[in-house]
Amino acid sequence: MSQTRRAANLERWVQRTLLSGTALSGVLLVLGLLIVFMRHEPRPEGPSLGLGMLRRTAIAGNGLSITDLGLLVLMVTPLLRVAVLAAGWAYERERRFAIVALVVLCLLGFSIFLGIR
Amino acid sequence: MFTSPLNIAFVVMAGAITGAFGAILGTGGGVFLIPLLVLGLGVPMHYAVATSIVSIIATSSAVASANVERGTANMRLGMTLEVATSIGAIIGGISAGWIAASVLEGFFGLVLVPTAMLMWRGKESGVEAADQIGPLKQTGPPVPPPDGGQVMGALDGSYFDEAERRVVAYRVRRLGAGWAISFVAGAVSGLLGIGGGVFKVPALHLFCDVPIKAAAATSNFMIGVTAAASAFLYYGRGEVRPALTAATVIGVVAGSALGSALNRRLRGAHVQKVFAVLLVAVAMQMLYRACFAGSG
Repeated sequence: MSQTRRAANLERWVQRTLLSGTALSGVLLVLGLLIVFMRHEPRPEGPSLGLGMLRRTAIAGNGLSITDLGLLVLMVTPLLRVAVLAAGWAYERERRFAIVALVVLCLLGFSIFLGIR
Repeated sequence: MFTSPLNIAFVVMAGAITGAFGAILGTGGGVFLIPLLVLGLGVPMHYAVATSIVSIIATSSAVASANVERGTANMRLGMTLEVATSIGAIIGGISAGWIAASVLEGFFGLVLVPTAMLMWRGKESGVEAADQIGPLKQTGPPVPPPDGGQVMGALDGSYFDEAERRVVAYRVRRLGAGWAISFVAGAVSGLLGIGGGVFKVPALHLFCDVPIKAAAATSNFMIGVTAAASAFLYYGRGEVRPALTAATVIGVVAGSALGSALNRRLRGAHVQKVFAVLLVAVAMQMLYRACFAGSG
């Protein structure tokens, strides 16, 4: 496969990742927001629920939890985009940029650790 | 604060307007969104900052996917600078609780004024710079250098400018300056909830010689990661309010789609002029807040 085609494939994967993340979060946000206002769910203050509790309440149809899940999907989307580029550049043997992407991935992981521990 | 349909409509509309500006200018739109939320809807400052950061991720993801498809965003350059912006954003996000934001806002405003002047008087569209490096004029992605080549060569880029109807190729210079300013942009983004494009686009264009459209697209590409690096910190503190943020994000995504379509029809020089005016407006807002209004 030519270098041009490989680069185009990687761009396509990055585009798909960004679009999928945005679309999925968009669906969850709209759905969650509709449920919130149809059921007049209260807005609790304070830190968000843990991931396990969030998943359970979202499956149970809690609008705020579905919205929260949509926001998390959105926040994770750039992280997935970095992971796709790291894998793509590693596959193309562009070690220099694969390592740079891995460093960015580690920094984002550190931020998640600090924020949601 | 956020219960009536009118308020929801206002938040969605605010998101749409800032999303459109963000897509056209590569700023992420937070510089408009935060004042709209705080002054227009009475949202507490820290919630507005968190909302802005998450909406910036939405703008960047939606617009960057289009820019990547067009080849305008330079992914190698963006990823290289993302190391600096991520470190800055994490430091900014952590520091948000114990550094007076008004001090940084005042500094931010002062820095923006000369940057806006440079931007207004700078190269018309970056095409001049591309003309001077004829051998790089080509279609398709940049060709990586042979083993042992300079990193800078691997960061060069090219894209097809629809307004100019030609391929614009460019060489990235002074990466260190871009890296340093990206770090500052990340720190300010993490602290104030703006995308940092107001720093990155002029820096990429004026210091690194990246054409303005590629600079805006690459900045937008980076902004998502910059915002994500601090978003988790705000989320962990419970400052990301689900309903408010969801309404904002929906508006932002719709607005950024409109802005992205407009961006394709705008010439680089026009984007540059608009961006210079935007910088002056943001500088005035920041200086006013720092001197008279406090940081909220």
